[in-house]
Amino acid sequence: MRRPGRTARDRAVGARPPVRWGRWLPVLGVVLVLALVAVTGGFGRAEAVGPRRFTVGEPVELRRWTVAVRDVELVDTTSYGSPSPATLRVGLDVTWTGDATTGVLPEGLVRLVVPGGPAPDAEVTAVPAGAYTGGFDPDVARPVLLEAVWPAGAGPGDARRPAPPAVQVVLSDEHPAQNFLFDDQYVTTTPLGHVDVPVHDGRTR
Amino acid sequence: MTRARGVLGLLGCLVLALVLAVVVPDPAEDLRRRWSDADVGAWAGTPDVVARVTTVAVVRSADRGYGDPLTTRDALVVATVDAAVRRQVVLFSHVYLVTADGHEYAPRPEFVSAGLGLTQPGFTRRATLVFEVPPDRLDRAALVLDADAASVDAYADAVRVDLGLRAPVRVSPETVTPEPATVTTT
Repeated sequence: MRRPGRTARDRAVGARPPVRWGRWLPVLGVVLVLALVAVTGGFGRAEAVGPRRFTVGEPVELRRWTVAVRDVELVDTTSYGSPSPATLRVGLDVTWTGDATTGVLPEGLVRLVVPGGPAPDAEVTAVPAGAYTGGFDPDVARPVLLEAVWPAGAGPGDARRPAPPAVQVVLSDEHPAQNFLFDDQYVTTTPLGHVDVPVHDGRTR
Repeated sequence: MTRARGVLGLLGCLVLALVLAVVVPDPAEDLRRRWSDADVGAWAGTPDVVARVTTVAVVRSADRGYGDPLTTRDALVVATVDAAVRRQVVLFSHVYLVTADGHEYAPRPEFVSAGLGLTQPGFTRRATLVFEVPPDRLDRAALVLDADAASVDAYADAVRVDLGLRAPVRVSPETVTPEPATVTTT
């Protein structure tokens, strides 16, 4: 039925070929991606990141940990007294701030730099500190000892080198990296700052 | 036109999947438990295990019998537990102290030889569990013996024992020495 007042031009418009929605798909895709980025906080202002300097004993609050660097000692025996290569041993006070007990301090959270070199081993390992051998309980501060062989690759029989006067204990933070498989996943970020710590030479040989 | 509709349909499905992923509760955090509750001294049970807490002490230090004692600036909760295993092997891999505000504390591994471990049906294990907890979190703390498959099993039975701690909780300066765990026939 023809409606009254409808012109020939209106009828011509009505006879147009269907709109080609396909040309809008890229635009729709971009809008969708931007919306997802906005919803997930991708446009939020990032926290300022830059080299900061902390002092010995200062509690540094990270996303899930609070770390205070206590001291650094150069040793040539293990914590059980056996001979070892020259090793930088870092004393920390660490507090886990999560909701449930966790096992280990994440790799990369604490690293060592010797100004002027030579560099210590990149692998920093935890050793028993006092009576503690296991994990970290929520909001309970406990001592931690980390060790790195210095210089990297040194052996127990290597020639004695002068101890470095100080080392930089570099602290990094973590960034949540939740995915569809693991909801409690974090990755280490770039360094947050460092502590200049005098080295106590505790070698016996 | 047909191809465009197909692409639009696919995008719609992706959006729907993302919305569902965000809206639907995370099953890993939506654990349902059928609790068997008890106070200190009383038995509580699941089809797999019956347990009771016989003693609770709050101290500053605990000795393993070798090396340095574990001494804390917070509090050590030392709980003695009898756990009778009923019908299948129990690992006791999800045992923890839970505080009133929901923080979970695992037994200190330094005292693993005194703690709960793999126990066969028909046997009762007497164990001592040591937890390190800030004293201001001890009010209404409870001991939980959860199912071994607790991390993947959203529906399970579990034992929950009110440790009887009420604020203010006094931390004794004494040092306790947990006995190694013992196993007897039930």
